[in-house]
Amino acid sequence: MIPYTQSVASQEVPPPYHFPGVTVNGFVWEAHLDKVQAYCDRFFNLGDANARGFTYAPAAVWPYAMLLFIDYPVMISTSPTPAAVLDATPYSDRGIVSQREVFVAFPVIRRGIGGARMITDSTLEWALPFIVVNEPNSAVCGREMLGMEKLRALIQTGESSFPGSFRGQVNLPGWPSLRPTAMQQMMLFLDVDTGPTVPTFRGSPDPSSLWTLFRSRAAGDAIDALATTADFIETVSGGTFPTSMQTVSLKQFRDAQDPQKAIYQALVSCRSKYSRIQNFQFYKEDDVQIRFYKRGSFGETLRFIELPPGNPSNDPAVARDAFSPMAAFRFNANIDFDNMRTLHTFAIDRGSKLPPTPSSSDLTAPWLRPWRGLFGSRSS
Amino acid sequence: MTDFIESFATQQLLPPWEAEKVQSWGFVVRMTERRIRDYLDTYFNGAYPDRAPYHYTPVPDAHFGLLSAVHFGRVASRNKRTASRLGDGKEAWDHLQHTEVYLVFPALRYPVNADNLLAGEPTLVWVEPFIFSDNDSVVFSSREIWGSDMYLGTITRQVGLPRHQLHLDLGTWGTRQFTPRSKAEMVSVLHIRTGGDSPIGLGEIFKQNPHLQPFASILVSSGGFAGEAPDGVPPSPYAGGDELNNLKQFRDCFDMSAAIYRAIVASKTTHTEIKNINLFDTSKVEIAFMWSDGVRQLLTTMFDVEGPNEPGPPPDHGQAAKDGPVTTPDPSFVGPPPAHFPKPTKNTPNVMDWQMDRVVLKAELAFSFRSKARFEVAGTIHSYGQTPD
Repeated sequence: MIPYTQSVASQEVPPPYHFPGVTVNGFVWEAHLDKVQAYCDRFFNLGDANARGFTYAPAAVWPYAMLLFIDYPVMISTSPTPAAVLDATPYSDRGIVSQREVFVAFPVIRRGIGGARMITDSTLEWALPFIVVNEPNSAVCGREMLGMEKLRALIQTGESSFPGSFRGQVNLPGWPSLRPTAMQQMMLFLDVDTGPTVPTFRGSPDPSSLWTLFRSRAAGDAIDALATTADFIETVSGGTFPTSMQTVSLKQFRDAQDPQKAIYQALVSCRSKYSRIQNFQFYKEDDVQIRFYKRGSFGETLRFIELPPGNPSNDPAVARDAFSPMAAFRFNANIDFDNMRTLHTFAIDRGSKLPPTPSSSDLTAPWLRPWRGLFGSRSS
Repeated sequence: MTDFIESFATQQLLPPWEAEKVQSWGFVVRMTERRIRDYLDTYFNGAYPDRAPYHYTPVPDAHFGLLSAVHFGRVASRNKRTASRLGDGKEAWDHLQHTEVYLVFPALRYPVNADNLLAGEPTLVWVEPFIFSDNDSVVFSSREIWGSDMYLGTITRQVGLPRHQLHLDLGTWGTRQFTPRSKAEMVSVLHIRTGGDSPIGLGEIFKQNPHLQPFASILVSSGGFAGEAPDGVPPSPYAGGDELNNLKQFRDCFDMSAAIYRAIVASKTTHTEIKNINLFDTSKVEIAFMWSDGVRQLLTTMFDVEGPNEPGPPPDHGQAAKDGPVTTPDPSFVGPPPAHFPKPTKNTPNVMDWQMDRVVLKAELAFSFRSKARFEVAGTIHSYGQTPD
């Protein structure tokens, strides 16, 4: 093992984390499977499929993308203190951090290639083609430990025109044009505006809305009761929201002298587990307007996120039409962020002076891991 | 070699990069031989699990650090790939500006043979225990590409001061006092203020402070300070002096005490067209690090201090300490588009928490200059755990 030397200047708080009392605003739209496949091929399906032993593909059973605004009022580290700083205060006793996070996620299926691996190594995971956070140390941890492509953003949330509505904006550093002399500046990238949660005085939801499944009082009570007493929200929310998101990201770092080359590439997974879900409410989809701003360098950001056709906007600054999602909801919950592990380390060609680093895998699906731990070897 | 997979989140400042309108301020402060040696042993000289073919030692009689603030008015990548991904054929993009604050100290890097013996003459290199920048893109690039131990900070400079004079404040997101119920906030880290120019020249300064001469020789020979060596400053006895050595390392996602990559990266920053060199009156220079639990270990390790040596914040920030940090209140209501959220509070020193005691350091020498700068990576001089077959 190569030891990591804890920096004396570091203010980072490594995972795992516990987040009580989180507020989530979620928006769901149809994903284009060809774009999801293109994302999988670019970031997950590196090298030869047979040598790799798995293939990522869109989850055709749930062909949707999900945009989440998450407000974490309290972040508590549950990380064991590294040996290098054992004489210092444990992370869990150092205090709390508040943060806001926004990401787009879509489900992907990992299929093991050949024989038993088709069963043992296949599972559903979530890819995050876009993720931003307002807390700088969270961005650094997310990028360097978990391989998430986290950028730091100005994330603002509040209530829109109507009581019970939601308004959220994301500003990111970007370049307003692709002219070589353009200077970086903070620019508006995403703007979400909703009406009040249903039932609303602004008319009835569309008959095809998910809300119609839950418009009876009994059903509403059942959501709260079931969600509070057990983690059945995945069922009662009609599958629009999973209670446990196992994510997959490409963790990679550049060579210092030749930054177009990588010195490390691996697929890393971690879990966000939602519990004590309360106050699950839907927005009327037609009342929700989502605007992604596509100007300048932001065009690259939306490369793998197909957005639905939208309505013309009156805002002259809008470079992308607004659209309404297929489902929109909000709820409160506790979130535990844990279960970090390296799924697959890709072989790295290090040039003529050094031998290539070999690949390695730990791909056993989460459901099989306890059984494998009981009966088999832990390494593959 | 294996290609790096580019994405929007890796639109980084790729080296080499060049900067125009560079304004630098440097403050020479005392460090101790013991703390420098401890730092070098912890970061560079250990078995991780293999040893690098180098051994780093403090420079005899030059136990000083250079605390610097640099504003880069216009930075652009000169990496050909940066331009080619845009398809315009030019070699400059990713223009940005930022300010950074850092500490460097000199060290001697000896070659080590297979018997773990020092085997040759040393090369003088610089080591950078910490650096703060106020630009996210620079932080991600510096950490992930050339391995700087860089953190995002809020860096403010007072406007309206006489030219080249400085009042700089640095804050970072952290915790003033570690308790389970403390909440992270923008805590002040460093306050620097100059109070006027030196009444005497460089030669006279070194004549009056002969203990500075070994460090001055290194500084002058490194090219990071001035053109010709001033009178009374002999040339550096060591080769090298223009190289910065960083420990580039990344954690394993499961075992936080393990690294998935650890290497020593050498880089060079070259200043050209140096002009407007000014010397400050060191008796009027204020350097104060604020004593918070988050920064305590850094101050102890770098400056060998056991605690604050002055009560309360610097006089400039006494009122801000009483008032508490200014924050942008969350809006209770925002109209539908195109209405926007109120703009965040402008970065001033008052957004930082100053309610702390401080560690005051004496500036042994203080100067400023304007220049152009070029940064390039010289190479990865050792990768741990990856020796050839």
